[in-house]
Amino acid sequence: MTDRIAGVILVLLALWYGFGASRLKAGFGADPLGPKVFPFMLAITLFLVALAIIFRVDPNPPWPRLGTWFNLVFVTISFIAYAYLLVPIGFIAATTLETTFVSQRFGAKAWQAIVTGLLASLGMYVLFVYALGIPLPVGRVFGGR
Amino acid sequence: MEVFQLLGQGFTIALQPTNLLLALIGVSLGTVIGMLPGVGPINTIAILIPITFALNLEPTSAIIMFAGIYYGSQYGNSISSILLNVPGTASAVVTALDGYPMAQQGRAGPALAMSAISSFIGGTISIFFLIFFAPLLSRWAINFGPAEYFVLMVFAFSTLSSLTGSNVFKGIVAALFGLILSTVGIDPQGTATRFTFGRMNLLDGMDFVVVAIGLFAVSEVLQMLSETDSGKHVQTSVGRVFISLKEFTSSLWTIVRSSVSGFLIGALPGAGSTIASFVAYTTEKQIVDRDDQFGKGDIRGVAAPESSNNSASVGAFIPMLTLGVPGSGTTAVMLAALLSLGVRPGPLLIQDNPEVFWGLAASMYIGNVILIVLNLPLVGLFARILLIPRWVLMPLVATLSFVGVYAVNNNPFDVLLMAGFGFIGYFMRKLGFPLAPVILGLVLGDLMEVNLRRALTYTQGNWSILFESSITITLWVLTAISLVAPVVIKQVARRRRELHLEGE
Repeated sequence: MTDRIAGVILVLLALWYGFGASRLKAGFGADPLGPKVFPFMLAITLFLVALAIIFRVDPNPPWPRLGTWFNLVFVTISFIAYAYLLVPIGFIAATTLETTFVSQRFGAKAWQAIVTGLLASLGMYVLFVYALGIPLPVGRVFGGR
Repeated sequence: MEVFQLLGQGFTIALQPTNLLLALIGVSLGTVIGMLPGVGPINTIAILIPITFALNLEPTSAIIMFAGIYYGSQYGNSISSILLNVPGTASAVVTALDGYPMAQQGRAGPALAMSAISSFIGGTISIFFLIFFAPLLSRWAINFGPAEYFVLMVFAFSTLSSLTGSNVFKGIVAALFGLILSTVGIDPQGTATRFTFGRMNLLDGMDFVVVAIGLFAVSEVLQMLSETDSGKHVQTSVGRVFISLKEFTSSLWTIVRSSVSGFLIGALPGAGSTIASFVAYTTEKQIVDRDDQFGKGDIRGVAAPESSNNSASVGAFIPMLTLGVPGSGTTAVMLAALLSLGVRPGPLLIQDNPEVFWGLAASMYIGNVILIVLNLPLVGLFARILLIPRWVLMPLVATLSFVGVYAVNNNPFDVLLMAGFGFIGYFMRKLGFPLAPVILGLVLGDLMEVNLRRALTYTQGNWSILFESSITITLWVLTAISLVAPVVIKQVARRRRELHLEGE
C-alpha cells in the first residue's frame, strides 16, 4: 500500500516536472536541444518507472508508532527552526538549544543534555572560528549582522 | 629510463626532513578536519591553503603539504562515512554502502584498516601507471569529445542496478530524483532558469554537500531516533581493530582491478573519482559478489571504491596538468593551489617541466605513505568513537552537519534545504529507495546534459553523433553487457544449483 501511495506521488511529481519543463523558454542564442529536452526526457522516464512501482509493490515497511512520529516531526521542526534562528540569535545560542533538545530526545537526562549542548556549541565555535578561521554568525541580538 | 631518474629526483626532494614533517602535519590536519561532517576534502583543502602560504613555503614543499592534506582529508572523510554514515564526497558515499553496515556489526576496525590499505595500494598501482602510460593517456583522453562523455555517463548509470536492493525500479527512481535535482538552477548553457521557484538561493543549483549530508547524516539521526524510541538498543562494539589475512587476500584482486579502472577513468578530464568509485563498486559486485553480500557489510565493498578513488585522483593529474581540466572538485582546488604557486598546466608540461610533474607524483606518493603509517595504528582509537553514548553522538552529528553545511556558503537557506532532504531521506529509507543513486544522478546530471547538448550543437541536432566513434560504440557495448550480464549470471547460477541438486 505504501508503495502505491509513493508511486502516485511520483507520477504527480513527473507530471508537474514535465509540465514545468515544457513551459521553459530558451533565451537568446540557444543550442538545438535547448533547456527543455533533458528535463522532459527525465519526466517521461520518471512517469513510466513510477507506474511500474504502482503495479509491482513491495511489502509494507514497519512504520513507527504514533509517539515516535511526533518525535520525528518535532526534531525535523527543530532543524528548520535552527536554520531560521541561526542568524538572529547567533551560532552559540542556537546550537546550544538545538544540541540540548536533540540530546534530550535521545533520552539524555536534563543536565546531561544541557552539558552536551553547551560543550558542543562552545567547542565547535572555538574550532571553526579560531582554529579554522571560518566565521560563524554572532547573532543579531548580540550586535552581529 | 629517464622517467625513473626524474621520479627519483622527485623522491629525493620529497624525502627531506622538512618536507616529511610538512607531509606529516598535512596528513594529521587533513584527517581531523576531513572527519567533520560536511566539511569534506574540498573544503578542507580550501581552508588549509592559506596556512601553506602563511608559512611561506617553497613550491615543492607546499605541494607536498597539499598532497598530505589531500590524502588526510580523504581518509578522514572515509572515517566519518564508515563510522557515522556521513559522507562528504560522492565517492565516500560508495564507501559508506558497505563500510557503515560493517561498523554497525562491530567491524569498524577492519573497515577503517581496509580503507587505508586499499587507498595505499591504489595509490601505488596508479603511480606505476603514471610512469608508464602518462604520455599515452594524455593523447587518449583528448579523443573524448562530448558525445563520448555522454555515453560514458550512460554507462555509469547502467551499472546502477547493483546499487539497488531487490526492487530495481526504486533504484531508477532514486537516480532520476538526483538527475531532476541537478536541473535546478540556471541551465548549463545559461539560457534559462529552471525550477527555482523564483528563489535567488536556488539559482546556483543544489549543492552536493547539502543534499548528501541531508540524505545521509540527517536522515540517519532521524532513523536512530525512531530506533531509540521503539526501544531497540543496538550495542555497537569495537571488536577487532585490524583486518585478517583472509579479508586481505579476498580483497586483493578487487583492489587491483579497481585501481586499474579507477586510473583509466580518472585520466578522463571531467570524469574523476565519482564515476570511478561507482563503476569500481558496481563492477566488483558483479564479478565477486556471489552470495549477494555487497551493501550488507562486505569488506570488498569498502576496498573497491577506496582503491579506485585514490587511483583516480592520481590519474586525474594527467588531464589536470596537461589540459588544465580538473577531474573533481578536489583536483580543482589542487589546481588552483598549483596555479598560485606558478605551475602553468599545458600539453607540454610533462616534456618541458618534468621535474614539476614527477615532483608532484613523488609528493603524492609520500602523502600516501605517511597516511598509512600515521593512521593504521590509530584505527582502534577512531573506532572507539562508536562507544560514545547516542545522546551525545547523535546531536553532535546533527549540529556538526549544520555547521559544515552552513560554512560552505554562509547561508542558512542551505541548512533549511538539508533538513528537508533529511526528512525525505528518512522516507526513502523506510520505503526501500536506495540513497546512493540520488548522489550519482545529482553529480552526473549536469555533466550529462552539458555533453549531450554540446554534442548535438556540433551536429546541429543530429543524434547519430552518439553512435559514430569507436569509443562511443565500445561504451554502448559495455553498457549493454552490464545490463544483460547480471541477469545471465543469475540464470547460470540458478541452473548450476539445480543441476547440483539433481546430482545428489
